[in-house]
Amino acid sequence: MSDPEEDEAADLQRLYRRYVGLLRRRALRLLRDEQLAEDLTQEAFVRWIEYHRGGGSARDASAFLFRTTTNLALNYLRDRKNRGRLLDQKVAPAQELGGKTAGQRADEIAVRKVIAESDEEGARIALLYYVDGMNQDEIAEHLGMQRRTVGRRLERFVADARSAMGG
Amino acid sequence: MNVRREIGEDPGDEEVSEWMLWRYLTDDLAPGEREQVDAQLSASPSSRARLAEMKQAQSEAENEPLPAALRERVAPPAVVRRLPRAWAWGSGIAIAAAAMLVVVSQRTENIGGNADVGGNADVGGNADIEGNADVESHADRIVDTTRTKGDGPRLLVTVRRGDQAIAEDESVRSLPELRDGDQLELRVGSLAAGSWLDVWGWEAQGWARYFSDRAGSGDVLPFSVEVTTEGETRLRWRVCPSPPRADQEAAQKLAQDEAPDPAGCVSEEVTLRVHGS
Repeated sequence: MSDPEEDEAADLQRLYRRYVGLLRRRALRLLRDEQLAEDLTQEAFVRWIEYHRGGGSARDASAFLFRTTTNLALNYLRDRKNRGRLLDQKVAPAQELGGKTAGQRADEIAVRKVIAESDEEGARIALLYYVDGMNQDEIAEHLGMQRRTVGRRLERFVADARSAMGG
Repeated sequence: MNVRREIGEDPGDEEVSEWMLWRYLTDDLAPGEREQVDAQLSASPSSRARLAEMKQAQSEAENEPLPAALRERVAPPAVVRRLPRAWAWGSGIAIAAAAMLVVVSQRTENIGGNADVGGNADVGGNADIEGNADVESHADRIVDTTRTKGDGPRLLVTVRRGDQAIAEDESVRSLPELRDGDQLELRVGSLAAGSWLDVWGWEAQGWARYFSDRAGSGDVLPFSVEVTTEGETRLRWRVCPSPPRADQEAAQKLAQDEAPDPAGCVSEEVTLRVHGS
């Protein structure tokens, strides 16, 4: 007879191995801080355990972990206490530009700034659109909202971003 | 954070989104969606590059063990309980040994204080009581000690499950999975002759000393440890070249899990993690 705790641990181990590398990479892309990314990754799994125990289906794991990582990163970016850190990161040394043009770098800075200052839903949509490259249909499906709502929020975000860039 | 679109740029279909790549890699796409992503990938070198990067991140972690903090969320750590020694390993031997176990997490630290801790009276046994008396009587002539050479004693464990020994004199690093009810018999593989050994187990009220006496290679502990899944399981052992000074304050700190660091001693603490049977 199988032990439920043993089964749960084995399931979690499989899930962890499948997703942890992807989650870690995603968190690192969003936060640019290895320790923070690791903490956030572990927290995402903790949230999954709670969600799963509350009746969440294992089939939701992929979307849940992706969405949770995004939300946790956004919460961090939008936390007032982290604004100073965010601003520091915005002023990147020249060598960090890599293959990016100055314009792309400026956009990146602006996106980060507006995401940090935007309302929660707007920030989430902007991140999915500008950082993850989702189209509006994908965002609507991912967040469970109407496509035209996504479009309106993006328009508002663009206006805010242009204002932040002084454009 | 890398921006994939410039501000105000219209949506384009040329790049595969992070989300779709994620679903592609985790087999979360319907067949039709997968074909669509395959077509987009064939037309987008940058998307293929991102997919390769994500695959690498995924494969680099595919053998990672579950961190202890997460494992504890689903499988509570086990508790150890000292039992009277019921098996005959040389009766009446003035025994000593060090041992510790297993499985997921292990940390090394210095543990201080060798005076009686709460629970010592409960754990029974004979050698430890004698040992404690020895510590007390020698306390005033303990001076500085020298550090134990090497990595500390090699610890050997025999695991008994029912009537069977499922592991005999195994290194603590290579034990099979433990289960509720397993009994562990502990023996020292190697230890400088005349070293002083203390062993504690974590019980409901704090650290309880299981053993305190001189020990040498091959000695066995005069007790066994039963593994259960009732609560927290922690074992500690400390080897010193000579008996550390008995100190009431150190004993209190040890009981509160804030042990100081006696000079010359090598200590380890191990948390047992056991699946229920």
